[in-house]
Amino acid sequence: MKQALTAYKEAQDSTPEAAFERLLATYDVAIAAAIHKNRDHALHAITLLEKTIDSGANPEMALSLQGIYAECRNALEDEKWAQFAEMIERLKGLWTAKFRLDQATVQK
Amino acid sequence: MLDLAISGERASFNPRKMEEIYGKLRSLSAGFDQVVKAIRFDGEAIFTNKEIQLNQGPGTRNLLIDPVRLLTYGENSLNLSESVESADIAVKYNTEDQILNAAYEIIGLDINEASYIAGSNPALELETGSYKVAIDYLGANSSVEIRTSEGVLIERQEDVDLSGTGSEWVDFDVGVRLSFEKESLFQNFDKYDFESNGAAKLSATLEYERIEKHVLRTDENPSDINSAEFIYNSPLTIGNSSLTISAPEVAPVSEGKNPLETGNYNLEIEYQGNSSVIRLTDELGRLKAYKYGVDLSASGDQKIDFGNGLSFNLNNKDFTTNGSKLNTALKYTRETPDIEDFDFREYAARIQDALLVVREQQLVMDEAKSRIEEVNQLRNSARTSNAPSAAAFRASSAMTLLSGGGSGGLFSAVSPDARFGVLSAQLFETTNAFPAQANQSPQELAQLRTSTNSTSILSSFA
Repeated sequence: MKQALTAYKEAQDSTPEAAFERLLATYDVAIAAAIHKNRDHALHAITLLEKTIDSGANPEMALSLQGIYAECRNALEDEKWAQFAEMIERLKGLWTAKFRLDQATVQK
Repeated sequence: MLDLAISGERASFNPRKMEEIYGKLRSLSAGFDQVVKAIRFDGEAIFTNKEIQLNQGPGTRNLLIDPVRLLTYGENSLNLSESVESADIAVKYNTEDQILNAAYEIIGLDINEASYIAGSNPALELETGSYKVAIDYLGANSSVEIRTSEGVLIERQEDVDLSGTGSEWVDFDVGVRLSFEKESLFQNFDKYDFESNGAAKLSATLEYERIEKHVLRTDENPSDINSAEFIYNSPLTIGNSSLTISAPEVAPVSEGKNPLETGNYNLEIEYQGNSSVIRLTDELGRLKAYKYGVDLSASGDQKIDFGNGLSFNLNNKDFTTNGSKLNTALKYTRETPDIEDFDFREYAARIQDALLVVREQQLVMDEAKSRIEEVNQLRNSARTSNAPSAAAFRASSAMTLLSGGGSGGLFSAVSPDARFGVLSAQLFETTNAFPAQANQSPQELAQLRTSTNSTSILSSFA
């Protein structure tokens, strides 16, 4: 029974929706860190985002994302919180739009 | 102009190039009208739909020439442009203003711009000339007047809030909008101690010039009218405290900012006291405007201006609950920039038609000239007559403007948002975007969420 539950949970966690939710949650953590000016937490979120880029899946996009995260790190180093927060908000917005468009296409 | 219109058609994937070409076409069509108006005979413009009767003396019939209207705008014209009522307005501080203003030593208040409000009552519109702006500074209850240079009151706006810091726009029914920049620098009073000294009376000079804005349009539909409204607007209320938003406005766009496009948006205010956040996202969720670190902790009204053409009022009534979010939908309509309705291909066709008309008129004038010369030869007179050749239809100038002209100077489209632009294109053009980034495991996310007070976890990502 426990094994079945674990398998079910793993299956749920691996759906695109769940992966998208975790991505948004990661951005939310970074945004909250920016609002509260928590540098360590913001760095942690950026590190996770950088670490989870899959260059093999889309090398060009990976390069763009790495560039933006590098700018985020620069903003953090210079304590430009507004700039950091806006970049993360924009990334979150782009992924949200992409997800909604994909969902709409699938539903059609 | 024809060459430019054709190159505009080719540049349909380069908005900056299209804007450049549109601007050149606009200048050339305005120049064309100047040339046409300058072609005069006996003091009268020739090509404005007026018949010309040439008296050739005794024994000959009068020569009737019926030139068509060759202006680019108006009825029965070449139909290449429109002339729209507008005004060029400037505010300055003359010596007399400076002397008057120096008496009050008010600091942190300036009129930084004056502009024309399209669609205002034409009956009230100011004549071209110099006017006075008279300001009675009383903080949040100030008044602003427009007077004639002789001091006669034209219009007065009461209860203008010139207190605090930020921007304030004052609209007059005469079609003038004044933009004030405010900065509160002192602790004991705001800009001027009017409570102790009474109102500060300030003065500026407004130079108003009626102009006809020259626009090129190929779209037959009228332009959109500026408007902004909250579709769903309910205050965020907790107990007796509340956050309320109201009075959305199409505001002036700050320099360097992209104007907000017509569409439906979501406005979210995340209350975090003196470091609150305001987000404006489009229907898909993309961030369109952002305000970070907004101080909403004080009770009362506050004007929020994104600088992208949207402003609104936010009222805090004793609200202090951090983390609360106020969401509302916004419908925003921006007057369409002329270029958005502009079809270079259709415009090139119109220029071709216009060229035919101009060539026809050239033939009419050549014919008139020949007939006059014939009459003169018959008279065997050495005198030159008062012929249209003297008026010299400079069709070549007009033709050059319509068919010639050149383009040059490419703008390289490099914007500070280029990186996001590239990412956006990559995101929406690919079907496998999510595997490139959405790879955070539940365990990693849990670690991140619980690491607020634990920086040591960072090492696990190294």
